Amino acid sequence: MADTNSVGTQEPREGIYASSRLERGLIVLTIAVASIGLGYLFFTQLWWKAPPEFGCRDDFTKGGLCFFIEEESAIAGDANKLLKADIIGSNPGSELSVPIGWATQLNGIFIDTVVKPNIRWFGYVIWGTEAFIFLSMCLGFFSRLGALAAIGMGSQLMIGLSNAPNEWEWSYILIVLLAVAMFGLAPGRYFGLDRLLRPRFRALSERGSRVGRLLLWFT
Amino acid sequence: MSPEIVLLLVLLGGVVAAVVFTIVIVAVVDFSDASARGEAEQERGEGEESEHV
Repeated sequence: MADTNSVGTQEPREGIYASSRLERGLIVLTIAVASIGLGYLFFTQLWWKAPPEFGCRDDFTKGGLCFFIEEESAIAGDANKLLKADIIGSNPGSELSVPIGWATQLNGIFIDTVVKPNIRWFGYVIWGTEAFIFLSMCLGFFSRLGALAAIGMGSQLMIGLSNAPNEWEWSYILIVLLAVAMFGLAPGRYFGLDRLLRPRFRALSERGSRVGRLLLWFT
Repeated sequence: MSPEIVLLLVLLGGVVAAVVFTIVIVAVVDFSDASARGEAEQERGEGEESEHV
């Protein structure tokens, strides 16, 4: 005999199924606050690296975006660590940590060979990606894609800058963690334009459209 | 016009483009058969499960 609760516990197709209207509202509200908050974070960072100079001076060697690029390049060879926990205060160094020297070295190669020589146009890629994350997270528009971009951007910053002087590693780790949560939740399904887009993309996907399937995945 | 105003207009253009894209998709793509098929599948699924009970 099958489980008698099977009709009542059908797998939901999408969205959230809270026990009450109030709880559903609370979940939607918190997801919206987190998503818009993450988007606003990227919005605030658009202005100090505004194109076409990206805040750089002296022929794109100092200041603004170029300062942080130089910083990432300079510490790339260090024995960098992440998630440091200084449990015993009297001991020098951290008892727990994750070595990420290999990642910072790879990041350094990427910075030195791709970003630095091409900063005049690569700066637009960086600025444009952050602008897209802002729009995506605040409008709930292709929000899973926006969250994926935020994971990529946050991870690059975390690897490249978390060990830089006067930086708090958790500021970057928290960006990545929030972006990961947004990627899993796809916030646009709860409050944004994706709520309108998804049923249409699903219809296209069910009619055999590969573009529809791809766009459905992005929302 | 200052660069900041230009960038604000670019971002505003992004907002408008996202909204227009959504309106166009809503207007052009008919999803009624897909939703009707989804409901039919759901009902059939419920019926099958009820038979097993």
